[in-house]
Amino acid sequence: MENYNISLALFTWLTQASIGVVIMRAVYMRISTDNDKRKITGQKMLFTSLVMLVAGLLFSFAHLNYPLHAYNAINNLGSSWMSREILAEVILLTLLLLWYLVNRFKIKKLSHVILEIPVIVTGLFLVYFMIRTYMLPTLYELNHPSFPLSFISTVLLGGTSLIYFFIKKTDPFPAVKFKILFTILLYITVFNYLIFRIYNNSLKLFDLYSIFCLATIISSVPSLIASVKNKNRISDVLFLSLALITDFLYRVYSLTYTNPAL
Amino acid sequence: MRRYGFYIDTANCTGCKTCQVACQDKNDLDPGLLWRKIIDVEGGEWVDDNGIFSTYPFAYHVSMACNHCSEPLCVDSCPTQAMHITDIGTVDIDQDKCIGCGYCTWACPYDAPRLNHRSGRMSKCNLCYDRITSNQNPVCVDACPMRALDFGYIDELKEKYGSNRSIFPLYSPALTEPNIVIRPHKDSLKASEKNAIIANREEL
Repeated sequence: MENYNISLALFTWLTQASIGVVIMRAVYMRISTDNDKRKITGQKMLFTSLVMLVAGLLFSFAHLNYPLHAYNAINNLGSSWMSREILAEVILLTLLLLWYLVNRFKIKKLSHVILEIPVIVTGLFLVYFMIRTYMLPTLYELNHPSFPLSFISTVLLGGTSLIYFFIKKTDPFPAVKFKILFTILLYITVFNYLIFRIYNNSLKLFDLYSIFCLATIISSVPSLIASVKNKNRISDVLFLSLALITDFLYRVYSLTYTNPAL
Repeated sequence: MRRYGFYIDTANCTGCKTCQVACQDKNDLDPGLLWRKIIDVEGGEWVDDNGIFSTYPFAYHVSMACNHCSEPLCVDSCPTQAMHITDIGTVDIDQDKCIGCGYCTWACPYDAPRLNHRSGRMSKCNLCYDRITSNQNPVCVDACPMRALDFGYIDELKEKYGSNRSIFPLYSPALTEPNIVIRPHKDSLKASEKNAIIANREEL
């Protein structure tokens, strides 16, 4: 389809991964026991999430053909899921920025929990609005549970992978937990991807998307072995990078596969 | 509000594309930007008659533009409210609000809204607003050499031509309540996804 769908794929993927980082950060902050390292890493995670969200927003502008009128995009909150999505995105960005600044300048009067919960709730609403935006009755290619599931899996995959990268050296015990969770989620994502392609009668074993899926699954084996043996190897980087690329390619595939009815 | 609509006679249409060209000419559209388009449907099947196989090919054409639906999904979906229902009941785009996101194209079952690359905003059939407000037919209707298109109030068209709105490969009319009446080509009754295709998909 049109090239601008790539920027749409980047927008959705980055935004969802950013929400995933915030959610998984909340999990990490509660299971980690090392207070000092936890605070520093938590701050880095927030910054990463913020950067990803801003980058996603910039890509969303890139898919508009007339961005000068972009302020009109929240005019139709009454019936347009896209309007609701954009409003939620703006609210999330504001809250996340505020949270980051509170953390950065150590304003203790504002408890972190006060901002953490609204950010996560807004993020979840945003993912729901994104799903509804694409679940149009006329886009029958996407009208299947595997498509919304792919959005949710991006949230979880993006979150767990980035948290793992942040803590694998400083906090190895919870890192392994995130790694195992990530690997399970990846297998679910690949299975979901297969269902999506079978539903659309477009399953091919040897195209770019399927080859990446296969390579990711194969690379998960040495990576898991390295984790069990408590070794830090290049296989980790390879596996996680391949997994994230695979998930992103799935997004590109599902959005570019979608064609107008006629 | 009384709604306008089109009558499309697929039994008479020869697929000459005069309506398409007249629309492009009148609205000064760039090549490739189609507000009205002709869908060429081709199909057929092999029939086994006691060991002798015979072919039954068929082809017909469906002239399609915006159907100015009574329940337009494009209007509901448009985030900017640029897509709106006008004072005369047609569906039109406010160019001062449109951001060119293309979401209306995804929502429309007839793929009617198209991106105008020149302006960077969406565009579509406005039912020749200027012509119908001066008691003239839309230009596509007057241009058709086969008289396969007609225009008027949808209740009058239904009285005159019946109420069929379905034909392969269009979506179910229950989705958006399009203001059209279709006279089906005889072969369209046996056309389905299994034995027919849109032959000019790339052109659309």
